[in-house]
Amino acid sequence: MTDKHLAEEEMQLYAMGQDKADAFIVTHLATCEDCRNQVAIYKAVLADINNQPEAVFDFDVASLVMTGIEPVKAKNIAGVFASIFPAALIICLVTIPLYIFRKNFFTIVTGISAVFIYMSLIACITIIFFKTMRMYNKYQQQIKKLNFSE
Amino acid sequence: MQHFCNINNDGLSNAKVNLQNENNDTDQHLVGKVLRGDTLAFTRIIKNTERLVAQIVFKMIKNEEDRKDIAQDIYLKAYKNISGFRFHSKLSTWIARIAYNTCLTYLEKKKLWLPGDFESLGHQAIDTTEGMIPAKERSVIILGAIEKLPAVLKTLITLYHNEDMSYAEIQQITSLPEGTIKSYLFRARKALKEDLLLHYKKEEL
Repeated sequence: MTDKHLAEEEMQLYAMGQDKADAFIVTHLATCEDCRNQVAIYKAVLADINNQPEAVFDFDVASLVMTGIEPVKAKNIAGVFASIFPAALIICLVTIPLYIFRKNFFTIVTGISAVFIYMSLIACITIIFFKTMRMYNKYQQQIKKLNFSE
Repeated sequence: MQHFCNINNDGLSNAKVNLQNENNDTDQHLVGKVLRGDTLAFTRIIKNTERLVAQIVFKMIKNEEDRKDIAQDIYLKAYKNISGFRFHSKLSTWIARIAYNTCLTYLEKKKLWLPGDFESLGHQAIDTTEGMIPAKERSVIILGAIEKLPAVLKTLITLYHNEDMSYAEIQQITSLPEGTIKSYLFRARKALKEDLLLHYKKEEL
């Protein structure tokens, strides 16, 4: 008999049939009655574990659960529609004109007359000028109100 | 062992066969149907998974009335969160995870499970003796010893030995590291062996 007994882990693995090929364990078990008994007990334990009766609910789980479930179909459709509709509308508003005017799309810039560009520039510069003047006047008024000199 | 009255071997083996034969729908198909508002598809999911859920709930919860509430709670949670299921695991594993976590929350709330319970396991020094107890009686002793194990160990034993789940699948359900699962299983088996040895010793006396 070998002096050192098998470790619990080795006995468990052997009992589960995962370590049958290990020559040391086989040799040891052939000579050690104590370890052989322990392995036999492990095998009995594992057999009983494997033969455990399986659990079954003694009530109808599906019926029980379904009473607590509210149909969410309408809510879901409304929710999906609410999120998809604005996006779809924006896509339509952009893509439909692009499709309709697809032939003129590349001539938008080149087709504009020089007079129209000139008039647009003048209008923009005038607006910017008046906006700047208004901002400047407002700034001057606020500075006067502060009246640092007095 | 009052709760063993609910256990039925024939019913379960039939359930297993039915599960394999009837469940032709894939998880994806069923989840898709549920998301489109088909509640009958969810009933199918319940039928497909209730055996595994029962295995977990019975091992973790002793009170019968609580089991009923917990079973309902598990599936309501599954229904509520099914849109978040990303198919990273089997649907049954995902529902088993919900079952495990729901039971764990219940036990923690009721203070019925403490990690310290593990410390008392597997430390008795017992002499080994030859088999003296008949197989039937031995089976009763082992089943009784399994019931005495902490809820988590009982569940791990059942998932690994009865459900033939891999460590990876058990990890997905319990969120325990693989090393911890192996260690708990080792300790549980050792505790069961020592419990049986204790009975052998008593018989001998």
